Amino acid sequence: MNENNEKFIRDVRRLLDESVEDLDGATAARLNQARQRALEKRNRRRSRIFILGSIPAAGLALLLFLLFRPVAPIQQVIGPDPSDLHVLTSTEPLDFYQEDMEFYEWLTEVMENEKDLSGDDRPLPADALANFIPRAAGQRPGAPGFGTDRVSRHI
Amino acid sequence: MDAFLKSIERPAYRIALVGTGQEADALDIVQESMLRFVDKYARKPDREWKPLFYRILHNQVRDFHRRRMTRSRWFSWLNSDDDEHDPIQNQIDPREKGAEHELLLSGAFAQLDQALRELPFRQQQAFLLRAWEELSVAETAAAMSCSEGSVKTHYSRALERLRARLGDHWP
Repeated sequence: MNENNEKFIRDVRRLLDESVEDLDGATAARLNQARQRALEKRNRRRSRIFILGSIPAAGLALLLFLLFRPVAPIQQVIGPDPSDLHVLTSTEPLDFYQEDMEFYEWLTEVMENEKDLSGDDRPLPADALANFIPRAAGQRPGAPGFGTDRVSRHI
Repeated sequence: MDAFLKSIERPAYRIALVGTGQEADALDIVQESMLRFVDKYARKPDREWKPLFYRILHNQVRDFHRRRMTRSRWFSWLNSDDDEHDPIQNQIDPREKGAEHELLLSGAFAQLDQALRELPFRQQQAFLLRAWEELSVAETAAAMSCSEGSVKTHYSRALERLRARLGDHWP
């Protein structure tokens, strides 16, 4: 390329640069508007890609969770409470259980405690019992009476 | 992306204006080119953006010429039986000229603009992309979808014609 051509091209470039610098306001505004529209479209596309891309990612994450989640111990099936079974199989009318059940429970507990406090439930020795049983009026001493008096004291 | 589009919008408008001769069409073409560029090539490396954008712009201007040619053929066929030629239809609306028209009338640039518009489309595009936008021969060939040899030919012919048209004393 000779020197004249280089100068010619420099002049062309300068004039073209000046022509676009001096664009009128309306044209510059239209170009700016076109650029903004293109950028908006790009942003919309990006957000759409993000949303569409997140769906398979979420599905994959769910699948991995289901496949590799820690296995929890199998819980035993809780059956009916034996007390409920008792109520259901009892011959007592249901009204009985709807009354003051706490009172009956308390009474049962007290009776069982008293039985425990009295020691074992074996029969008392005969001589011990004899001291507590009053003799019949008019009965001679030493004569065998009724009940435990008749049991020999020399075992 | 915003900075790139901002740097390129005015030269793109000028190239489209030289190619179409109409401000409104040039603006539409620039807008459509930007939308298509963002849609197709936004994820490409930055260094490829310029030739890719001009490829879209070049195709848009080429399609504009094709549409206009088709339209003019249909129009001339439909109006072939008109005996009288209506001169009012061929007059350019002065409101469409605007500030751009005033600029075109100003001296050296007006002569250059006129000379560029008189060039064949491919010479016009090859010259503007090479001389003004400083694309390489390969980039210009990619933008114009032709061989590098064709670019060199179009460019040298354009330069020769412009120099002959504008003369040695220009600008």
